[in-house]
Amino acid sequence: MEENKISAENGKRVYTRQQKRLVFYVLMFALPILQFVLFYLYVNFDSFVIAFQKKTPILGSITNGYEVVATGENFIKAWKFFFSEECGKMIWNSIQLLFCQIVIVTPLALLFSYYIAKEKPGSGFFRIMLYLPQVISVVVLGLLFQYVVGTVYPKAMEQYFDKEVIGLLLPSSSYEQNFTTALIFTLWFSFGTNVLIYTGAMSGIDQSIVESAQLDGVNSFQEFIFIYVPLIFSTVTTFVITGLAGIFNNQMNLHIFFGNADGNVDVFGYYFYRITAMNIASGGNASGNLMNLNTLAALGLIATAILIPLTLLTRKLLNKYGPSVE
Amino acid sequence: MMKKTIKKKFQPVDIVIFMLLFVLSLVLLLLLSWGLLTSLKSYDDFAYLGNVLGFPDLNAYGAKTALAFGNYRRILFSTVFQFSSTDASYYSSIFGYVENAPETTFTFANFLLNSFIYSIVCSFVHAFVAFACAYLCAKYKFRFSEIIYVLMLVVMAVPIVGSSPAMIELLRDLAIYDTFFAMIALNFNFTGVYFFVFYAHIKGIPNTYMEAAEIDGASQFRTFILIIFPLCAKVFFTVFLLQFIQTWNDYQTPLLYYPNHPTLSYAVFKMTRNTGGADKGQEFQGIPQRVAGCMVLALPVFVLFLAFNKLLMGNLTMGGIKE
Repeated sequence: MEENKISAENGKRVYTRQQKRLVFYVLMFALPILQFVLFYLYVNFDSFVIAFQKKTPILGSITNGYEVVATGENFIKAWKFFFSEECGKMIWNSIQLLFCQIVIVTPLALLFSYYIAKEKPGSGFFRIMLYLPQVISVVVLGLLFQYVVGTVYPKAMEQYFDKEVIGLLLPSSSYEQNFTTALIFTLWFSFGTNVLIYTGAMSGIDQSIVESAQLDGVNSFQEFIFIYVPLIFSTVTTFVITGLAGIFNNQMNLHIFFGNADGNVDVFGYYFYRITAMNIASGGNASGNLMNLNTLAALGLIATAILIPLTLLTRKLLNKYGPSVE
Repeated sequence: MMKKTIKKKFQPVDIVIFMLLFVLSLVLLLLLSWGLLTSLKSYDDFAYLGNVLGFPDLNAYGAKTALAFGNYRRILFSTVFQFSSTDASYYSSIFGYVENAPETTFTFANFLLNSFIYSIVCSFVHAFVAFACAYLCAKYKFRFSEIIYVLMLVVMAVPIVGSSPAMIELLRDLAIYDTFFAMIALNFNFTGVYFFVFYAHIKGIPNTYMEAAEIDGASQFRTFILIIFPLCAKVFFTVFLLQFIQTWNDYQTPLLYYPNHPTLSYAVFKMTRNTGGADKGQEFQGIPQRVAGCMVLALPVFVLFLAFNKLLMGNLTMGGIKE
């Protein structure tokens, strides 16, 4: 066992290799760990604390001070809101989004990835076209899309078909129209990453398996269903789990279409961002029907508490009942 | 024989997929083409003549200027934007004092500069921290490394909803809210998928490289920078580019945590909102001008994509890049 020792020749302290490694390790890790403790652990702990606080402005205070008291009131309000019609609609919208992602985007993304991985005609071009929306800002594509469906579509209908229609993705449009249009945009936008990751996973499949299946006479569809999908199913599982875990944070790009103030269509993620921003705009004094940040934090905790077991359960079920490689 | 091979490869299911992909690609191309054409139209052409779909009408008022990139020139060189600081006054108010911060004036050059500084610095910081921590976890066999690895898996798996109020409060407590330090602090983290990308790549590097360097007298830091970093340079650059694009396009983080230093993405979002009140003199009431702003925002990342598309679309997997 090596120990610290004083070099006989020059009197300097000699450190062992392990000690040098430890010093480097501690120095390099110190700041990132501090950041993690502060900006992840503390922030989430503070969210918990905020959810139990009630802030009351101190009357007559020239500094706009607040009296802070501990209370469980926020959870009662948040719980009631959770079962209100408004929240029910939001949750239903989030579920519809998740459902469409799983039932429409995932199978289509798998088919597209298979087509690209097999290098069928035009695959290079299609790969770029699918990935491009991930590169160009969602602000740009979202606004172009909104102008087209909101302004161009009614004008074009009037000019070319002499028909009066209301534009889409406008506060004046119907709830159903706005939700469906925003949903279509979000689904279209989500193909890129899916295809990129699935193509990567498919390129790692041992080609001898595919060739032996081809010798047995399988067609493209059978090859896709019985070889490609089972072999990359762990990647698919990861995407489904990520989609589920992020369902209450997904804003469905509604903030780009409607900004902060318009609640024509809500999903959970958009609601959180919108209400936080509206609290900002109201100077921190949420009034009327606007939920304050403390109740919002409580609502976030309730959503998290529901989502964690649901995510873990889905993961377990997918691992148990997903397609087997054998 | 050739025909037979092609027929075998291109089966009915492939035709269906081809058609679907073709439609999706066409939608994107049409949308971008419409944006480009509209940005070259004058306000009168689009709004009064109702030319929403066709090519720019040369007889419309201001058409020649617009066709000569007039909308772009106006945005880039001759427009002054004003951002009111209501967001900042709110945060001041909850923490004890109220001040009605004056409106701040910006030019498009300010937005561009803010965007470049914000995107380059934050992307580099995030990529480097993730890389350094992945290296420590992969190559330093301490118990703590294993704990961190498991912790990162847990962080990725556990969904947290609605922590932004607490984050804002912390930034205010640290007196870095609405400063560039806040943006660096937020990005100085190693949570997320890139940690695992680096981890898997570094894990595959034989330990003999580091042992040989140490025998030659290299310090731990020199080994990290001069031996490990060059071996991971390609992965690092790819992660940096991906992060750069994400940061460049991100408008919500600056909007919440950096409100008085608008980036281009944030400015375009504000500018294009009817209620944003971002532009002075109502110069951006017209869709062609707003679309030109969108095009300016898209251009830098589009150029990056053209230059590095193979790298960006290479298979960045948990085992590094496979092209």
